[in-house]
Amino acid sequence: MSMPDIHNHTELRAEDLTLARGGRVLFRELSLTLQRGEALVLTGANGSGKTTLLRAIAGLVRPDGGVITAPACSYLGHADGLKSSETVLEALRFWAGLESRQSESDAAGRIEGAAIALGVRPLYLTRCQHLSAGQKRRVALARMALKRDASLWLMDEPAAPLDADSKALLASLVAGFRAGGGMVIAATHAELGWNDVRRMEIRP
Amino acid sequence: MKALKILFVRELQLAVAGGGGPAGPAAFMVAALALVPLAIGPDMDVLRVVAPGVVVFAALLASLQGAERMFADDLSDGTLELYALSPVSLTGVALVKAGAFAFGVLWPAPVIGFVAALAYGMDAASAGMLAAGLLLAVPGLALGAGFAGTLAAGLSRAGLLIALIAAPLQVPLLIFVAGAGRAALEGTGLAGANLMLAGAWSLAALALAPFGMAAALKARLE
Repeated sequence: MSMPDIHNHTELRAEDLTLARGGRVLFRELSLTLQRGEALVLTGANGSGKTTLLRAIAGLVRPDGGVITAPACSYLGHADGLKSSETVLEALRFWAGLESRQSESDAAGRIEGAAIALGVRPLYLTRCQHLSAGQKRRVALARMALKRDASLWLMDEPAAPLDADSKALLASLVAGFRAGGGMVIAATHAELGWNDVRRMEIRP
Repeated sequence: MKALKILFVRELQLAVAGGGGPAGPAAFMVAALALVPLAIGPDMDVLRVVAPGVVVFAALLASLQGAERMFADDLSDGTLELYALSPVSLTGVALVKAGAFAFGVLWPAPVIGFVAALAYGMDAASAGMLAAGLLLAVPGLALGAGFAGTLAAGLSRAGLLIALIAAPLQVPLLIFVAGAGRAALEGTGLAGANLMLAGAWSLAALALAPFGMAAALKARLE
């Protein structure tokens, strides 16, 4: 797929981060930096705060302490964000149109690129309610990947329901994005099979 | 502006196709209005007098039918997170969703109200006045239901909370729209004033509710 234009992006920098959830402190004074082209895999026990860290970097929750400087990011939560009555193409078109200030043909090109990269093009006219869990995940990944100008992808369990072939598609998508200067953070328990990644275990 | 328009088109389609559209609230309103005469008897003089109040009452209760699902689905399927990260502000999202609810789900209320008012024995002019009042009330009803929906989204007792939050918000609409119908029926000349007050309440809701809804959604996401 075509790479997003990477310009005037800084790296990701989080300093002395403290995050709490439901009154319980998940971790204190965690710092991390990520340079262009790098990928970070977050591991840790259930409830250790991987998702909350991703949400804080995305800007969905305010950290209880510390500072985050993040470039424009595209977020894939643990839920796929799909509507059962929409077709795959309708969903991708909607998100491409909502995010993009560009022309329709540009958006169509981005949809096409992301759909081919994740093998969801044959599913274009299928309603989301008829997709399997792995297919839904791939559509959600395509939605994440087509966002313009994002130089950081945040993924929460990107590969949990994916089969081996789909994992390979995801790995090559991520590799292509990094080659263009993109940064990736994934929280996962599954082995992703990505090359040259940093790992970080989150502990209280 | 373009993003708001795209969002509105999607939400309208989802409200009509995904959420069942106007059928649920419309059926509820029709059922309620069909049952009332069975409960209070067939005396046309009585029915004509109670018609404005009963019709508006049924419309208000019907408007709460879809309130629970309005934001709960978006919260559970991850859509709300993505909306929060999109170029549209949460205030814009709240406004658009309430608008889609009004245009996609609540629009039959004035039509049903008009027909029911005629069936209850009101003359066409008074029934028209009542229907006009319901039309002016639709934005206020959608925003009230939406406001309750945002506060209750994702809670286990959402239905209870929505009924308790939305009922007081709807009191002015109930009074003014029913008042318009009754004033037209009795020829007191105050129907227009009641209509304007109903419209004013809808406008006030339009100006204030989206901000409250956005604050509630933000708290829900944290």
